[in-house]
Amino acid sequence: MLLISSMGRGVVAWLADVRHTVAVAAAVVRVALQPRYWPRTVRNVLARQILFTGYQATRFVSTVALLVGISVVVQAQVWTAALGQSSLLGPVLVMVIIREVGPLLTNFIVIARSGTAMATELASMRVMGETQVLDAQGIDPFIYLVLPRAVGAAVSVFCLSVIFVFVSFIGGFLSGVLLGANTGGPWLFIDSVFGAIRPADVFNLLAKTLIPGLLMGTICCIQGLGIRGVATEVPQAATRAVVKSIMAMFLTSALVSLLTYL
Amino acid sequence: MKHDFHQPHCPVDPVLELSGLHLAATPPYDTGLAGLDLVVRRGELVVVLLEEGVWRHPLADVVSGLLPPDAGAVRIFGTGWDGLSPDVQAVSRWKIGRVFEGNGWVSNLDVDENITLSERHHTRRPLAEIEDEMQRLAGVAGLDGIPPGRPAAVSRERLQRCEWVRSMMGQPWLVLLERPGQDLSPGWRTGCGGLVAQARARGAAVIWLCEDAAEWNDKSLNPTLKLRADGNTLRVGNP
Repeated sequence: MLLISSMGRGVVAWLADVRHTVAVAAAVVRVALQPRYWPRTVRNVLARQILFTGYQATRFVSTVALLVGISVVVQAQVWTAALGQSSLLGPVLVMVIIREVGPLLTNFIVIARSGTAMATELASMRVMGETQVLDAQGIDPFIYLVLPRAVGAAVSVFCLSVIFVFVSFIGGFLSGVLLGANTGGPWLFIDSVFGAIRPADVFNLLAKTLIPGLLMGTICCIQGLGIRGVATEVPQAATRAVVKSIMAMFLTSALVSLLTYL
Repeated sequence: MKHDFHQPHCPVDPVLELSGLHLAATPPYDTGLAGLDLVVRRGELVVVLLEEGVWRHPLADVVSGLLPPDAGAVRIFGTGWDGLSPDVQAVSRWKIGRVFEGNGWVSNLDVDENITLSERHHTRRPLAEIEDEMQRLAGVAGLDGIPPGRPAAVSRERLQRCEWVRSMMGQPWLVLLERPGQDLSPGWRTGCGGLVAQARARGAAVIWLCEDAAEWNDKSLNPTLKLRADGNTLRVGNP
C-alpha cells in the first residue's frame, strides 16, 4: 500500500507540474497576441533572444544537419536504388528528416545550448534580487522576462528546423553525387522529396517545433524564476529545466505524431 | 481609478496614506512595522532615521505594493493596491522613483539601459528625449555623464549617483530613497539634494530613509516630517 500511495503521490505531483507548465505556456500565447504587451523593451529582449537562440546557433545546427544529411540521405539514396525502389526516396526522407530527426535534433540543440543559459540567467537574476528591481519599476517579470524568451525560443526552433531540413537535404544530395551514389540528378531528387510532402507534414513540422520551443522557453523560465533565492539552487534549476524540457519535447513529439499520422 | 500618469505630479492629494500598518519582521527584512500611520502630501519630504544594524527595512516595499501588510491599509495615488488591476499597479509603480537598498540593477543591461528602462517600457517618448533627460539629471547629480558598460564594471559611488538619476526619471509622483547616501563621498548632498528639491518643487512627495543622524538633521533638506525607527515603530521627533 505504501508503495502504491507513494507512486500515486508522484503521479499527482507530476500532473500538477504539467498543468502548471501548460497554464503558463497558454498565458504566454494569450499575452503574446495582445500588442499592448509588446513595448519596445520587450521587443528588444525578443530580438536578443532570437539572435542568441536562433541566429548564433545557425552554424552549429547547419553542421549537424550536414552530417545527418551525409549519413541518412546518402544511405537512403543507395538503398532505395539497390532495391529498385527509387520512387520511395522522397517519402522515406520526408518521414525521417522532416517528421522526426529535424525537429528532434534541433530541439535538442536549442535545449542544450539556450535552455540551460536561460534557466541559469533567470535563476541568477532571482538570487540577485533583480526581478524585484523590475517589479518595483512597474515592469512585470512575466511580460519582460518570460514572454520574449518563450516566444523567441519557439520562433528560433522553427526557423532552425527549416534550416536543418534544407541543409541536410542539400548536403546529403551533394555527398551522394561526390560518393557516386545513384542520385538520378538534382531535379529528380527535388521532385521526389517535395512531391512527397503532404499538408500533414507541414502541420507536423510546425507543431513539433513551435510547441516544444514554447514549452522549453516556458519551462526554463519557470525553473529559473522558481528558486527561492539561494545561489546553490542555480545549477539545480538548470538541470531540472533541461530534464523537463527534454521530457516535454518527447511527449509533444509523440502526441503530434499520433494525432497527425494515425 | 483613471489617472493621466503623464502629468508632472499626482492629481490626488495626499499622494500616500498609510493607516494602522502592521507587519511582522520576517526574513529578508530585519524589522517589521507596528501601527504605522502616515500621510504624505504633494511636495512633502519625510525623513526616516533607521536604527543601526537594521539593513533591510520593509517600508519601501510595503509602500510600493510589493509586500502586503499583515494589517492596515496603503493608499497610493488615492487608491489601495488591492483595488488596482495588475496593469494599473504596474503603471503606478512606474510613477514611484526609488533608490534601492542593496542591489538595484539588472546585471545584463548597461547602466544607461537600466536608467532608461522604465521610461522605454511605459512610454513612447523618443529615445533621444529620454536620454536627454538622463544626461540633464546626471549633471545635477554630479556626474560628468553616464558611465558606459554593465553595472558591475562601474564604481560604487558613480553607480549610486546613477541610482539617484534613475529615481528621478520620468517625473515620479513619489520618490523612495533607501539609504541614498551609502557609498557616496562627503558633499554628495549638494547635488543629490538638488534633485530632491527639484522633485518637490514639481509636486513629488519624497520619503528618505537613512541611518546617518547628520543626514537626518540636515536642515538644508527642509523636511516636512522627521521620523525615527524604534524597533517596529516609527516615532516623530529627535533621537
